[in-house]
Order: sequence, then C-alpha cells, then structure tokens
Amino acid sequence: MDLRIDVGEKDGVVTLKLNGEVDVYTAPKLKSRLIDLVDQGKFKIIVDLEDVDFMDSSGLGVLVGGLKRVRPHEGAIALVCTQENILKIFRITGLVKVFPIFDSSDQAVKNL
Amino acid sequence: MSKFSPFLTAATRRSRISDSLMISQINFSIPAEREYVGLARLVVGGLISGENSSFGGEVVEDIKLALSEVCTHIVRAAAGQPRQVFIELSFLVNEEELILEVGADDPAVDLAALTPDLWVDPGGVNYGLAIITSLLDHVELVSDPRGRAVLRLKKFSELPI
Repeated sequence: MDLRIDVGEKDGVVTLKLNGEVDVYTAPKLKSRLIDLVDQGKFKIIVDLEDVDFMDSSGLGVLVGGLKRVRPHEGAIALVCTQENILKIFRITGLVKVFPIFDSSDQAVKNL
Repeated sequence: MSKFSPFLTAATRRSRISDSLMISQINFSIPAEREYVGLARLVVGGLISGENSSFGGEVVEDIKLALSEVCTHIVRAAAGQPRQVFIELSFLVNEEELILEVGADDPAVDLAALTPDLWVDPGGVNYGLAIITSLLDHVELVSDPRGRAVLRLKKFSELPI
C-alpha cells in the first residue's frame, strides 16, 4: 500500500511513472513531487498511471491541483492510462474532459 | 502511526465464509488516520472476493473505492480532534446485497453535521460524493443504535437469486 514515483524527462517533457496506490495516505507524495517540478520550471508533465492499482478522489484532487499550477505557465498535464478501473473515476467526475488521456507515454509526449 | 491496534474491536456474528459466503455481519474499527484507509479496503475487498462471492471483480473494486472515499472524509474530519478517533465499519453481506455502514466513534466527528462540507477536499475539489453515488445502488445517512450518524452504502448482487 505504497506509491513509488519514477521520474524521467524527454524533450522537455517530464514523466512521472506511478506504481502502487494513490489515496489519502500516498497522494501527498505525488502532490509534493508535482510542486517540486513546477518550482523547477517543469510545466509539461505526463503522469503514467499504467501501474497504479488503485486511485480515489485524493489522487484526482492532486492532479487537478497540479494542473492549476502549470496552466499559468502555458503548461499541461497529460495522463497515460488504459486501465478501466482507473479510467472509470475520470469518467464519473468528468475529468476526461480536463485531462488528455493516452494509451502510451510516447503518444502523450507527441501530443503534449 | 497510531499506537493503537487497527483491530481494536472486531466482531462477527453467524459467519460462515468458506462454503457459500454466508456472512451475516462483521464489525471492525480502524484508527481515523491516513495510513489505515488502505487496510480498510484490503479487509473489505478480501471479505467480498472469492469464487463463491455474489459480487464480480469490478463490483468489488467499486465497493473498495466507495469505502475509501468515505474513510478519507472521516480521516480529514477527525484531523485535529483532541482524542484518537476510530472509524467504525459494519459489514453485512448475503447472496442478495451488501450493506456497509461507516461512521466515527467520536460524536465530534458527526457525519450528519459535516455532510454539507464533507465532500470538498482542501483544494476545493468535490468528487467524493459523485464517485460514491455513481458506484453504489443506494447511499443514505442513518442513525446507529447510539444515535450517531453513519453512512449506509448498499450494493445489490448482480447474480440471479
């Protein structure tokens, strides 16, 4: 019940690859990492959710908060996700209209 | 990390899980702290999973997600309370339905009083209730025998009765 965050960068786009669960316990770790990136001037971010086993509204709140931080800098946050159980919460909350969601990290990089 | 055991209180009545999942009722409580929400998901997920369960894998995930949302809100509401608050969960399942009641042992964390603001996180994002009501068949606020407000979540079995 932990969250691992691997960070990579390619062509000025930072990818956060999450592995584990994103809930009220682990979401602050993701929030902190996103804030650090924005503080470093990284405004184009991909969050890869392919290896996320569970996510609730705590994770959604952090992603929305991250988006609010990058948008004033012409930035964006894109998601990589093909898991139906994770995609479902984005559909329920209408966030599929807020975050571009791609099947692969390569697709996300090309479109960001 | 709390110094309390997560299973400070646990009780079962007429439980017979192995053959046909004829659980009548299971009660347990966990500290209202962030690190224990995953444990609540794990326990409830384990109780309703299995080859004899009336609930499919997708439904199990929905119930775990709804439970996580409720527990998260209680954890946030309990933060700053002078005494250790526990989340109390009452779990009842049979072939027809699953009923999960979630509340707090501290009257200061009153779900009824908190409801108008309960589903808004510190960032002002309001998704928890939308998720819960979308995933479950019935959601209502009820009083337990002690008069405390608890959230009752109900999911009907998808299998023919």
